[in-house]
Amino acid sequence: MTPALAVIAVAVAAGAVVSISARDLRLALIGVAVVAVGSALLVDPLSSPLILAIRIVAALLAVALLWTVVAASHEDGAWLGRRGRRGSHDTETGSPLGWPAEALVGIAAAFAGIGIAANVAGGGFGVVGAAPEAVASLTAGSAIGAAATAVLVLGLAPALFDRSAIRGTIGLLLIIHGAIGLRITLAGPPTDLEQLVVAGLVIACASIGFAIRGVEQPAGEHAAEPDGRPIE
Amino acid sequence: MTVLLIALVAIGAGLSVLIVRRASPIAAQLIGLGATVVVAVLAIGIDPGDTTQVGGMAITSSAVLRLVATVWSGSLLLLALLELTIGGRAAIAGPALVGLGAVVLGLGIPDPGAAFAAFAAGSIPAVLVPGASAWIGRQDDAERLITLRRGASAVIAATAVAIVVVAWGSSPVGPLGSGEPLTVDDPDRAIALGLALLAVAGAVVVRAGLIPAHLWAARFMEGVSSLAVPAALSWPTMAFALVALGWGQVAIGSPTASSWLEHGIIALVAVTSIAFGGLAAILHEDIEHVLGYSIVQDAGIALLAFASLRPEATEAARDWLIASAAVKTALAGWVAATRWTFGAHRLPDLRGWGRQSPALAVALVTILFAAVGLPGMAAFDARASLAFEAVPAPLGWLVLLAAFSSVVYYVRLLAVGFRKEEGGVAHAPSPVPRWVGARPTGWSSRSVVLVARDVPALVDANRAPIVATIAIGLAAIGFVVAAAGVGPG
Repeated sequence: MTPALAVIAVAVAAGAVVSISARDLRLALIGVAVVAVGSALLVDPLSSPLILAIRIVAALLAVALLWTVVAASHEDGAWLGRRGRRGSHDTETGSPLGWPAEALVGIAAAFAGIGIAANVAGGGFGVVGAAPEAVASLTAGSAIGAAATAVLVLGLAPALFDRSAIRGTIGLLLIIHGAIGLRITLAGPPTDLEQLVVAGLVIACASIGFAIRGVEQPAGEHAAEPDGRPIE
Repeated sequence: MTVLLIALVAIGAGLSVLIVRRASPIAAQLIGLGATVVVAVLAIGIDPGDTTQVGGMAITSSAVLRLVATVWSGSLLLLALLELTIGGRAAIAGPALVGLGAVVLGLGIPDPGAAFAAFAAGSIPAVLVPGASAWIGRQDDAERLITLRRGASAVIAATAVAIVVVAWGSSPVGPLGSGEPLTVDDPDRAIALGLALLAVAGAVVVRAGLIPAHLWAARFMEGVSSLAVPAALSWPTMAFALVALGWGQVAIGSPTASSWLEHGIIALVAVTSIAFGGLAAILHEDIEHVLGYSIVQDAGIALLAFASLRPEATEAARDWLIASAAVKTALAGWVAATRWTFGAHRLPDLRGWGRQSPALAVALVTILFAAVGLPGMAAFDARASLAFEAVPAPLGWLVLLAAFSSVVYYVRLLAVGFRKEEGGVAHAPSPVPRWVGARPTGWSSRSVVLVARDVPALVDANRAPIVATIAIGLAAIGFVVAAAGVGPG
């Protein structure tokens, strides 16, 4: 395992913690960007420059899609704030557990990922539990597995339970990146075509928050007016 | 090469439609129609066995892929025409084309994990766009936005589970990567294989909206145009289940599927969906609900294949899944046509629809024969084979009986259609073709121009018969696929 891979894995896990626990959605999206770009680099051997560029551009495009609705929401919130009303984003408060608890959950999941990678490296189909020598030697798969499992587990709660469209989408993006990372840990680096398909899937996943929040906002404006008249 | 070309044309055109549909719905619909025609022509020309290397992976065409591409693109062409005729919001062709391209690409890819990712990427627009178009600006639909998110989340969740399970299968600790035989003598292996089977079958349950994961699918179908349902549910689910079954047969095998616990759980979920899906379709008065629950019932029948995984079961499931997708596409077209023609979607408000529009009645009778089938038809035999592969006689007969409950809700729809016309049905547009606005002219250089000028008026005056004719066309496609199946090879 190279030190660079370990640093990227730590950054990806930290990005996941930020993305689900930050109160400000813009900060959460920066966390998602770190996860998405880092996940493109968490492959051993590294993908070709073209494929890597496509993965990174797709990751940033996905974040940009969500950023547009979050930025519009903040502008609406500021406008409503001046008029003494509350914007819809006021209800989005991030993880109820707080970042320290989420970080501990991520660390626990990362150890599980290291265990999976060790089992893959040292076991066989008929073996349950890795051999001690396999556990002692950390491989590239260990870093990828640790980051992937942490990201996957951290994404579950917002994807399943958060009513906010953006936070739910952040959870889904973490699940996708985690699943792809786990797939690399188990079955090795993906082909170029598979990477392209994953890039498309990440953008499609981000479009969930973009489309639903885009519909929510006009509906929310109408609903915010207590006397039923549209906001002028 | 043709498969790659179809995927590129369909996805490119679908994205173009999504981009221009707000600015110009008519332009979007025309792009969608044009691209669908091109894809249909290309699909007919697919050569089974053709292989193209792209990005380190071989994209291979097959008879199944050709049938899916041909039938789905042909049906989509008719659905897009139907939407254009009834004045829809150009919400169907764009996402459906993206989904079609992704399904074709995924079925051509040998790696099931990449195929699942392609299906998910292609079907998310098909869930989001029609839902967002139907519900935008409506104040009473905050809960329905949650439904949209649930639908998209179900797609992502099923995909993530399937990707990880398939990767496990190819890893050194999995059955394919280890190269060790598929046996269940070793208890550790039996547990691992059983969990993998349950996980992949669970992914199919979530993706298809089967009971108990049916909530999102049921709510989704309440709110969107029925024309959106095939692209969001029927075809991507068909492709997902086909690939999952193919992987399950190779990686897990029938000994695990025959173990009592795995077999029992999968058969129980499948039979529950068959029985309650059929019952709900019989009891509901909303024709969109009948469509939705009939899809749940059909997917339940396909799930029975996971309780067997024998080659006979997977072959039957292949025939059943493709026929079911084609027939439900036809039913979705019929629902949209009926709702537009009579301005109603509840059975009490549709009394006499069949008397008023015999062409729509012909379409539904054709759908009835395609869905229920006759002995000798591929779908009919596939359903019986699936029931008895998963649940041996005499209980298998009960499962088959539950699967045939579709007769009841189709006959109920028809019976309502032949009662005395009431309300809106009696005042519905005439289904008889009319020549209003067309002026008889002699053959001269100007007559062509005059006739061309009359076409829009003619189309406008004949929307009802055009809509009914399209419904018959969709039903005919469904019948042919249900009768012929994939065929040998």
